[in-house]
Amino acid sequence: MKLKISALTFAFILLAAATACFAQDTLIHGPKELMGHAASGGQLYRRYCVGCHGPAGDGNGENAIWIDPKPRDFTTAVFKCRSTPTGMLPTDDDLFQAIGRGFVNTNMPAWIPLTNHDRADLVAYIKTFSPRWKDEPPAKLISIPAEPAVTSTSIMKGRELYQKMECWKCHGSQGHGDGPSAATLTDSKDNPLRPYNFAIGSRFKCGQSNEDLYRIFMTGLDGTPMPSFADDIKPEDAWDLVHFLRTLQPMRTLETRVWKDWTAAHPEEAKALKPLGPAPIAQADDEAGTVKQSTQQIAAQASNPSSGSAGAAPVGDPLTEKSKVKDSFVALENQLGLAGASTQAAPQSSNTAAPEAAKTNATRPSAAAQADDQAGTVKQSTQQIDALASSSSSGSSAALPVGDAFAQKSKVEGASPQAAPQSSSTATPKTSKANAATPPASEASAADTTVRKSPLSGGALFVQVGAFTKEANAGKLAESLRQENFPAFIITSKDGAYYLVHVGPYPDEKSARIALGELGRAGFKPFILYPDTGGIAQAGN
Amino acid sequence: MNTQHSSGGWGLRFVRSILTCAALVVVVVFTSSQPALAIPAFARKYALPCSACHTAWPELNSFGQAFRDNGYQLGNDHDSPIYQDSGYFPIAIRTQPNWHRESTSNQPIDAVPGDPTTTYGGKVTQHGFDIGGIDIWLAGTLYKNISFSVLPTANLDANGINFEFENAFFRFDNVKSRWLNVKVGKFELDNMISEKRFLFLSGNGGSYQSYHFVPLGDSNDFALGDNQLGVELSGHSVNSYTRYGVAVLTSNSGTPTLPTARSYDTYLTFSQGFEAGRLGLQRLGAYAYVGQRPTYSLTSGGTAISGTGLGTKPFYRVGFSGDLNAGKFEFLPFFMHGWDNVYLGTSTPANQALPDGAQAPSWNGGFIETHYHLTPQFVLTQRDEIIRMSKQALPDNPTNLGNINAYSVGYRWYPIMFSRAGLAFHNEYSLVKTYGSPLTGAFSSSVPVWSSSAYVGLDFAF
Repeated sequence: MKLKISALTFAFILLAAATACFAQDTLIHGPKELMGHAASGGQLYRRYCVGCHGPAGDGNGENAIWIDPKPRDFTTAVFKCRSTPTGMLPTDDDLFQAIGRGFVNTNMPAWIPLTNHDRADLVAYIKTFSPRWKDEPPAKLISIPAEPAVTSTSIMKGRELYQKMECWKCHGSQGHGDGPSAATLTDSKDNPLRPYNFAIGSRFKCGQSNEDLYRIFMTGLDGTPMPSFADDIKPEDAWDLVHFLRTLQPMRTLETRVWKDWTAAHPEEAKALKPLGPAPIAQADDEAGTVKQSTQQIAAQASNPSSGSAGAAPVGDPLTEKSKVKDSFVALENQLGLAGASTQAAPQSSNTAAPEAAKTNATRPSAAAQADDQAGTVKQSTQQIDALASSSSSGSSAALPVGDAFAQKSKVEGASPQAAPQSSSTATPKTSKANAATPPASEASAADTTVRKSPLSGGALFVQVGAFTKEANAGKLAESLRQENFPAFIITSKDGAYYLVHVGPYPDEKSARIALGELGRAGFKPFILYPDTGGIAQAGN
Repeated sequence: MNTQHSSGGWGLRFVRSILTCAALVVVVVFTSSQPALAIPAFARKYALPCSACHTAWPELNSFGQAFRDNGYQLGNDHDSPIYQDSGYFPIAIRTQPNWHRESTSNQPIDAVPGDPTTTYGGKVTQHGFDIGGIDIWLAGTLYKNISFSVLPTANLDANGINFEFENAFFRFDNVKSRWLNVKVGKFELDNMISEKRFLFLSGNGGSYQSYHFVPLGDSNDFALGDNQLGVELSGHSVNSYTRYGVAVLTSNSGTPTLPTARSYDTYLTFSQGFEAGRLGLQRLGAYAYVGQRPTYSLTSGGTAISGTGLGTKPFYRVGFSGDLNAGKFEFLPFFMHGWDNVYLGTSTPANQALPDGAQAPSWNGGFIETHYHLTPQFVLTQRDEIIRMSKQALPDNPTNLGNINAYSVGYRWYPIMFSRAGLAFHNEYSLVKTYGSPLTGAFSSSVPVWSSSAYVGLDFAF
């Protein structure tokens, strides 16, 4: 009997010890609270997740190389889908929901067939990969006010916001994810990614309800170029934007019905709506001969996608300056080695060689001055042109256009993902504020381009290969370069007048010059964009 | 006694021939390949490890079941092959090089080879290196919500290689909603416990006795484990916890030729999964198969004309099954009640008189299979199965004639389990005890037949 009692006692102690070891790791709320245990989650992680996210949780699983977009790196604890402010850790419920929901257009499936306990255990295990979960206190949830009624006024306001906040730059004027900056976007690890295409009509990355959509742009998708707009727009405005974005989707929603009814009832007003997207390119149509910009503006934009003051340059009179401007523009392009807005890009046509003098840095200023003289319309000094042409780091925050949400968000987040991916993705609110107070120079330059991130930031070098007035032509060149394994992308000047084809980034001049040589041998007339000196080097093979 | 002899003379000869055929079928089935239903082609397409969809491949877990129910789609808007690299081809290959030993007791053996008058009951034992059939399986999506599967199987035997189509079907997925999917072709019945995806390979353990059982002397060729030809409507909830299936099938047990009869069978199945806290997912299901089989055909010059079966007589199989989990333990209970029309049970053409006292045979069968998933790459397996006759077709048959007890135990270790390929080391021992020895002179249920299989092999899929 005594032995029996001892055995029972021993069993009880064992059970208690096992229970203690099996401590709660995470708590999932919802209809029913669930406790997740990392110890159990380890086996599940090995079964379901390790192939992509890797044994160390760093996103380097055996399949990662084949996957696009790349698997999440849990060691950084940066997550797209959160109900917390940008830069903060997500809640356990956020992770729990993400596992069950999956991510559309990625390899991450919806693990909804797993039991809730399994998913809770996985959440607990995922949190073991980063010390941030221990070091940082739980973040406060953002508040989501009740959704106002869907009205045509709300949708109209949302439409205006879409334009004003420059959502179109990534998501496109029709929401197709094909904005001028779309091709240049990368995540915090420099992996390319595409903005969401509303026309597909699939669920969003972080949900499918209006509330999910609201949450997405009020929290941002950390680790991606999608910023948080929490500091830029009021909650009621955010709901307006939600209502408008819904009309871009092909589904039958309340919003699409309201908007359809309104356009049917107000055909004239609907017709008079300004198209979304970049301002009309009045001066860039070579064939039509409707160039409106002054020479220095064009020169600055053509050679300097991220000019600090290009956006502030005055617009000339197209009727009086058209021919002169065009002539001087072509001359200046030749001087600068751009070989024309459409000729530089095509290797075949690049035989129209730029003047020899333009092939070195030393001769460039005088060449530009010569162009000034010839055209007789250049109003800026060569120094100005230099500054504009190189401009990646010369722009000032003062040049930020009012209402440039991307630029402002860059400041708030301290985000220059390409230059310093980790800093943006792991930024805490504290550091974000500090960055907002003293934005890096690269951010200022980002403010002046349609790309949110300056390709010239962070000391990296880029090589410009072509400049086009038609995006399609730029796209063709970029694609052909990519097929030749050049990391080509397109950026646009401030007002969208030119589509510039760049390759890079290159960490140093040596590697940039290697690319320069290869491109030169291929018949292009490329030049290096120097962020620090503002100089432009002509291809010098 | 006389009655037994009078009916037994005819009956025994018939039963003996049936048994011989059955034995041949068993040999063919057991020595042919186990259908491969672990599909590395999917793993390659979606960059997921085998363990994502399989508890231990080829058995599906809840995620794999949902994937299958969705028409081999993850639903991430990249399911259509247009999103795949043009070099991708949805093909998988599986086979099992192995060594196995088969032993069967109380078999009629000629003491003097070639002299049938010297027959006695003895044990037959065979062993040697062997290879399972080679499955070359193509499966995937033709387009979003249109999936397919084609599984030609190459069976290797003494006569060389012969091919057969284990399955071949198209499936229109998510028609209107996930609750309506339409599959047409030859396919596995939507059994909750799939014989095509289970964890046993040996001659005696490599099939569920309950799925293939027919009473001794019965002419019904139906087997729940056989793939069938027809059309299936099915549906499921988003997580596939709730599932249903309705199939209309030709009455030929999946043989891809003209049906023996101009009749159709129906299969109904339903299952519901639910979470039981930390125990895990539990699933219970029920099924019913109602069919007909012809008892004779039109003849021409005394020879049966194919596809003109007449005198169709009904049969049914009903029961329930489960998939119960308790941590690393998984229990698969299964129960079946079977009933065949008396004409089928006695193999009597419907245009002829039944033997005296004949009645419709019925029986009950079932098993409990247990898996212990030590890790995603190691699983211990065990199964106990019994079949008990409730009613014998012929009154003179011993009540226990045809009863079966079967046991299996084994393990599978997966040293390789990537998203490109899988390899399992498989070790198994199975034992089957059947009441009813085909010895000369009498069918004696008092002389059980013991069949055993020992199996050591490598099961690989690429």
